[in-house]
Amino acid sequence: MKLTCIVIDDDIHAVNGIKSYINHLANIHLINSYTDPLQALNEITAGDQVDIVFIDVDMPMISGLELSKAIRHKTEKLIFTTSHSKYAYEAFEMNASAYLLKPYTFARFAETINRLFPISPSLPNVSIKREDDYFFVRNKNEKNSLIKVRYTDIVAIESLQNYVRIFTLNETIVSYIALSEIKIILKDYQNFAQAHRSFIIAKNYIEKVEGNTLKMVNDLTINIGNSYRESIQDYIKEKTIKTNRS
Amino acid sequence: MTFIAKKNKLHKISAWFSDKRLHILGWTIFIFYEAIIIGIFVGRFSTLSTYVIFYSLNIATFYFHAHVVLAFALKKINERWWKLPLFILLELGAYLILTVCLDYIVINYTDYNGPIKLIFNAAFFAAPIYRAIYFMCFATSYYFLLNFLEERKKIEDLEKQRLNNIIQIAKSENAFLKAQIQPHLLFNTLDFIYQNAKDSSPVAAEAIHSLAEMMRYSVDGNQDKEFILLDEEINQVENLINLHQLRKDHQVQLRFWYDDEIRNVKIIPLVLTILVENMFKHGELLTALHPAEVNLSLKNGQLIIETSNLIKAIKDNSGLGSGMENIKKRLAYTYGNNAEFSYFTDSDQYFRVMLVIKI
Repeated sequence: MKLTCIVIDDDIHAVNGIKSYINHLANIHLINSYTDPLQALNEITAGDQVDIVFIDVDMPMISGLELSKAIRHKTEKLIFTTSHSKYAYEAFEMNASAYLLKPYTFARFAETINRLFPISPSLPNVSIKREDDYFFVRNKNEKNSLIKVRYTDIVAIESLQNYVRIFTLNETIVSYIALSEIKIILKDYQNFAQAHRSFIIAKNYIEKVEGNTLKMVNDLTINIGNSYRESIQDYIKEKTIKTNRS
Repeated sequence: MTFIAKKNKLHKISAWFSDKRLHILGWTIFIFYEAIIIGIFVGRFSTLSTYVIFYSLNIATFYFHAHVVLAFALKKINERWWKLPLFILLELGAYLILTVCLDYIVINYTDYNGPIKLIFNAAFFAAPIYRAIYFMCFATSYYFLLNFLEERKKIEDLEKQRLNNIIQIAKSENAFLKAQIQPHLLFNTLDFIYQNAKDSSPVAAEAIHSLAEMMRYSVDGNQDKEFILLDEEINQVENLINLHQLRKDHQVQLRFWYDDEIRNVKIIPLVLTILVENMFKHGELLTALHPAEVNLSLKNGQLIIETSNLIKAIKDNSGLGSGMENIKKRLAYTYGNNAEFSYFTDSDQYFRVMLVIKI
């Protein structure tokens, strides 16, 4: 069953913004949206119970804080959307479930919903046919043209917040895709491992291990993150020739 | 006189006494001590009226000397040399005349018990002159003590005022920055731009988002606190890097190494941010072969912050020194010997910063 939600914000652009986010998530359905807080008050108190109300804190006539008091019993979760964090403290006093600071990204929006309703997580779908030995990504440096990347060519992938930099044997590609999404694509390939919170590497392209750093074939030097050290070390130990002499 | 007026007068008198209580106490102790000592020494005590009359004269001389004679004589620097001796001589003369008059009064109108005849010889004048000079010397030290205290108060007031001015300036600068635009309007506008740019120009929208996060950090004023979580500085630096990446088409070669556990470490604000800002300002960050690095690590209870970057071929060192000096001072102020901060340019033209803080 879909989650039902209502949006209250006196700014039509903000309403449109959140609407587009809601449309991107498959498991959430918008019942109604209001730019007039008084109308919202009347209709919500007379209407059915909903799962989420998104409400702006700063509105004319009746403040979001007051309005939320009046409608709190009508909704399972209350999410404040505000442009200024000084309201954050008051929001928690009000039994708000979460707050979103404007402007917020889709990722932050989806993450908040998933945190509040963990039973039906709505991950953005990253799907790819697994049989092929390559995939296409948009190359930001070449006007977002699609470029083929062979799994066997990937040396390492660096996270640049919402982008990644893919180091292959021959070139470097920057693409608008998050490292966490790449991770989902690569999770069936044993050769790839995360070495640091901002790096995924291809194990077979490790050239040198010096203490805490990995040197890759293309002279790329990568520090091993604490939480990834063990699995990397296990792999290297596995591959190290053992003799009785040591 | 009405009751209220009486009460008022009483109140004034008691206020005067409490105002002058140090003087009264001082004189009481002094008179008591002198009268008793001399009395024991000479083996003879004068009558009460003698004490009252002559101590009144001496006390009056004391204050007259300090507040009138010295005050007027020393007022103008170039007239001091003749005014001071002249005034003292006049004062001395007046004192002697008064002494003679008072002696006359004491002998004839009180229950005086000493020798009755006044003999005007050198011995007769020696005692009052000694007494006059004695009290004038006291008064002189009192005068200089008062001056000294007044000077000191003036200096303290000036210092206080200077500090107040500095605080005022800092406050008004801050208020000016904050008042330039209402945060509410600022973030709503940024949100408006973000919503409009999101579909047509996602890169612009992302830049707006990072910018808004950075603005929020400075508007919220967390950097006024003494300590903040490294988490906040890391987020600030991530946003800063993201903004530069967006502007430079993701060609910026800067690796930011840290583990998430380090986010909970506390540090003074704006150290990491300023170091990274400096890298963008003065570093050459676009060469793939020479990536810049920022490394945060925890070792043996020490927080280690290291940065390294190739320096720009064309040097722009404006502001670098002062930024570094500022960090150095603030570190020394908070951590003292528990922080080591060093920076230098090595032979490969790499600018390196090393900061170690014991936690």
